[in-house]
Amino acid sequence: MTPPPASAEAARPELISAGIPAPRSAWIVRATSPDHKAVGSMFIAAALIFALLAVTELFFMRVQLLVPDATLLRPEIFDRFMTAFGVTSVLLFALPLAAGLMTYIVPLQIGARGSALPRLGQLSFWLYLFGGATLYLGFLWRPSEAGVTALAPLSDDLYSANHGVDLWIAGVALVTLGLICFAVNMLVTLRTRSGPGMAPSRLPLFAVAAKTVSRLLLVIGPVMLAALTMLMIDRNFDGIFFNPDEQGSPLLYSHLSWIFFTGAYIAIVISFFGAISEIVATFSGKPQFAHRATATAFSAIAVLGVAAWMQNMYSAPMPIGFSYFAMVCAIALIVPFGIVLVNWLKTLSGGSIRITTPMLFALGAISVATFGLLGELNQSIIPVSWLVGGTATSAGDTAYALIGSAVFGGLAALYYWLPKLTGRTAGEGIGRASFWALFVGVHLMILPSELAGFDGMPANVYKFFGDTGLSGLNALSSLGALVFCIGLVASIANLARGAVAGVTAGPDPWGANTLEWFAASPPLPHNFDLVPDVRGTEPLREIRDAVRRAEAARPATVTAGPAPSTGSAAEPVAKPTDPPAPPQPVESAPVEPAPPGASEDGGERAGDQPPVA
Amino acid sequence: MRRREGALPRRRDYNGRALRSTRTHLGLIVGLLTLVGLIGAGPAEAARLFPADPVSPNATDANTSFLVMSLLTGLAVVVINAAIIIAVRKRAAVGEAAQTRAGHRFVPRLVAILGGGAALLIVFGIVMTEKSRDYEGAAAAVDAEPIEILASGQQWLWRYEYPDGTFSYHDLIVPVNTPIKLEINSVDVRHRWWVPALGGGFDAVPGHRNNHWFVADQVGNYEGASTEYSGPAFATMRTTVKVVEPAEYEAWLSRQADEIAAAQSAVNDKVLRDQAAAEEASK
Repeated sequence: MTPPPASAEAARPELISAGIPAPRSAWIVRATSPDHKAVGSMFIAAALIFALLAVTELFFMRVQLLVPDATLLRPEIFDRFMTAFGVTSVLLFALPLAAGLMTYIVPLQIGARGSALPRLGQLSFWLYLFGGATLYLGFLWRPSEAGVTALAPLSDDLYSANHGVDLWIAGVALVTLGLICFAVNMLVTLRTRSGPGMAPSRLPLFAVAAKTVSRLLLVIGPVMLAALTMLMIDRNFDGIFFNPDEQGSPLLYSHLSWIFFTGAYIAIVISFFGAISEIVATFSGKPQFAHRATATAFSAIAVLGVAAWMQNMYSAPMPIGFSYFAMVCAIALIVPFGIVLVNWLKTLSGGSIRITTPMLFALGAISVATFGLLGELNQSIIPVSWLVGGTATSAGDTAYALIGSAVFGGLAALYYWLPKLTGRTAGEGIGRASFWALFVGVHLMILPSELAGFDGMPANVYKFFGDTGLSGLNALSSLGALVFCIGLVASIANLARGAVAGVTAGPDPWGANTLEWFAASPPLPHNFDLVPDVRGTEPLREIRDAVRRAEAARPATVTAGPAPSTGSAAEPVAKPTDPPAPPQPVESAPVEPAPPGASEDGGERAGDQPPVA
Repeated sequence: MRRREGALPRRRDYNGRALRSTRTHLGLIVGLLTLVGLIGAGPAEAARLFPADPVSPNATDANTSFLVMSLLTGLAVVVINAAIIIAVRKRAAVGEAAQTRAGHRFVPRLVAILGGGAALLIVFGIVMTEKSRDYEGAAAAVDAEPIEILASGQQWLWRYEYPDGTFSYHDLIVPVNTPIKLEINSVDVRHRWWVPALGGGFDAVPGHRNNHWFVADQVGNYEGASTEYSGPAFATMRTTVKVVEPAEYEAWLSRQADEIAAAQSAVNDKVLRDQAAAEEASK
């Protein structure tokens, strides 16, 4: 994008090229660009690669648990996979996928021409990537075997006398730092780069989720950094923090790490709930029901969710009052989660629902996540948690909630925004097939293991004994995991193929109502030639209506593009094959320009219908 | 999407396949439920659908809470999924979406309903917690002196120490209908003593003392495991609580004490012999 020299006519070609650096290859340009779109794409790509690693680990773990008394993997090897899987799925896949989508999409949604702190955004990605690399560096020697959350004192040097745990600490710290940088950049961008009229109450729900999650990360990130620093000091400098022989307390690490991991869990759920909200509204052909209440509910989920961190510690030696505090916070989560859920259902009901791949994944995400969240509600009752805490039952509920939001919601978001990211749509056929594989797989994997849990199957065990009678349930669960892994790999491959060879999409292939669909697909380096004036939560619908009104008022003349046809209900709303039409810059009247999606959406958007009670 | 456009004009809906998808959705859920039912139908596996039968009052409370909550949450899952399926099945044609907007009373009402439900659940949770912590009531129901036992976790077994100083590994032997007060701690990393038939799991944290109690009302063997990851051999860290008749308990206790004493004296003798032999050799 080097501008031509000002005195082009006087210059001779060789003189022009003399001053211009030789062009670098495209991937170097992208890897070194601080542009939020480049950073977001790298985030997403790295998150998907780590997803494949997590799938591999899950596959090996479930193969080990296919039969009782298995000897396929040695216990240490299983524990390495188990430890790596926990961090990979949560901190290297789910959260960075959300962060990447937000880095890419949110500036477009708020009408910004870039992020406010682009270099910080770039730093956030590289910190994350090097954090992940540091974690996996351990596999060259000996990675951490200290469990998913590296609970002290097992992670202390006395019981884990290898440097795998040090690499784990360094890796998690780098990823956490990266997420903090992401959060700062996101909050400053939302604060200072919102387009004209983009008031906080008009933020799309995905941007609201980004704001909530960023604030949440700023609270929980430093807590984890503190815990990791203490653990590092304990391990390497004979520290005292978690060592009971030196008046330290292992419970301190439990509290600090659970604040972080509970917060990360909640952040994942909120992020993808934001994306699901957008997708449900778009494919229902209706505005979001109770937009403001849903936005408020996200904040309430963040506050109550983190405040309930001790829900994971009911069985720890601490006063019962602590447990009551956590239980009240955890049960109170019914209110905000219920609001979000009811608002989705109200948005769906009576809508002209189009079951496309992203919508299918979004509905699947709601369905699967409810299994997990209601299971968590079950376990927020203190005696229930005493009964099943630490077993495959409680692990299954967590997995349900995280898979529902991060895998189903994440794939919904990727299928939804892939046309914006790459200008191409992913294949529908494989998308749907992979959805059903994932949907069958997730239930077949988790339901039997939940049943096995309260019958004696602890979580994270490297084998189970034949005399416990859990063989059938574990075999079913392993079978489900296989189906699930195939579905996930197929879907990621489908997305990758769509990104390079998919059907060309227009700027607005879905007939959506938020501002990112006003930009070209993929967006121009500066996002928008013209940033429209935002007057509500659905700017693109208002722009379409304004264009339609203008065209109706005008006498019948030749208009650019096909005239909006009214009433042909059979016509599909989106034609992904239409070439992208760049937005027409009209300086005087911001609402007037023909948006890229307006001419092709068939004119029967729900907005011009009279309200039906 | 492009490939299916040819089939669309015959239907008013955007996407004809969607109806089939909904049916598949229903079919899959029914299929899954059948599968779960089949697992449960086998006589040997029927018990697998429920937690182990509780044999202590606090375990009964925990089980009741679990079953009540499972019923409620299961119902909620069914209602939510049914609502999604109904909304998809009864969808409007493209462009004819109903414009439902939240009335200004809708959200406050929703908050009131959900908040009321949450308040009821909190009350339920507190009542059940207090019930399952009611040691005094459970101890008063049986006329036996409580026995205090120290359960000590270590990589990767449980050591039980009885009031008279006798100890046992792996298996905890207790008399029936007697209040057992467990003090749980750990000598190395964190563990969790978990026996579902006797009230669930409690953490063993080094440097802290945790407490649990139970009053087993049935003779039998109750399996348990450690459910806090504790290192390589974590999966083998199982425990069995053997509930026996009081007389049998006393007999076992004295037998165990004798065995320990015999083993101890054998060790002592060997040490003394070795010392004597060493002295002989040095002379």
